[in-house]
Amino acid sequence: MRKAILTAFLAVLVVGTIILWIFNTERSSDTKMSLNGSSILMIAVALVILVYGALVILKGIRDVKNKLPSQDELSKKIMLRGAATAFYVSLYLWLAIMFFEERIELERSSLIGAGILGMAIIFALSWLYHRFIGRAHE
Amino acid sequence: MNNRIRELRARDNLTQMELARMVGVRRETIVFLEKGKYNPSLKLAYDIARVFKMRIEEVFVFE
Repeated sequence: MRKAILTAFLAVLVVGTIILWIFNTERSSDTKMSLNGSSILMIAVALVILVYGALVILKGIRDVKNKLPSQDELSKKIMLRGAATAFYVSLYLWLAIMFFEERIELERSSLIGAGILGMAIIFALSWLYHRFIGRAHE
Repeated sequence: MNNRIRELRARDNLTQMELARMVGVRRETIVFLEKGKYNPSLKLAYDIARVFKMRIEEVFVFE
C-alpha cells in the first residue's frame, strides 16, 4: 500500500509539473492556446503516467482486500527484467531520435517528449512481455 | 524443474489464493509455479513444502 501511495504521489507530481510547463509555454508564446506537437506529446506522457499510477493504486487496493502482498519475488523479478530490457531498447530509441533529429521538422522539446513517451511505452511492453511470456527456468 | 504443487493443493483442498496467502506471495506466482514457468527461491520452495508438510525434494523435482 505504501508503494501505491508513493506511486500516486509521484504521478501527481509529474503530471502537475507537465501541466505547469505546458501552461507556461503557452503563455510565453505569442500563439493562443493551441495544441502543438510538443504539448500533445507532453499530455500523452502525462496520461500514460496517470493511467499507470491509477492501475498501481487499484492493484494495491485489490491486494489489500485479498490480504495478499502487493509485491513478491516474482513481480519484483518481472519488474527488474522488464526495466533491464527497456533500458537496452531505449538506447536504440534515443539513437534513432538522434539520427532523425535533423531530418524531421520537430522542436527539440517535442523530440525529448517523444523519447520519454517512447521509453514509457517500451517499458510497458517489456513488462507485459515478461509478465505473460514468463521467466521459465532462468 | 517440475513440481507437484497442483496435485498437493488438490489433495489438501486449497485454492491458489489460499496457498498464496499462506506463503505470502501473489496468486499469479502460484499460477506461474504450477505451469512450470517460474522456479521459486529457496525460501519460497521451503515455505510451500512446509504448507504441505513435506520436504522440498518431495514437492520440487529436479530433472
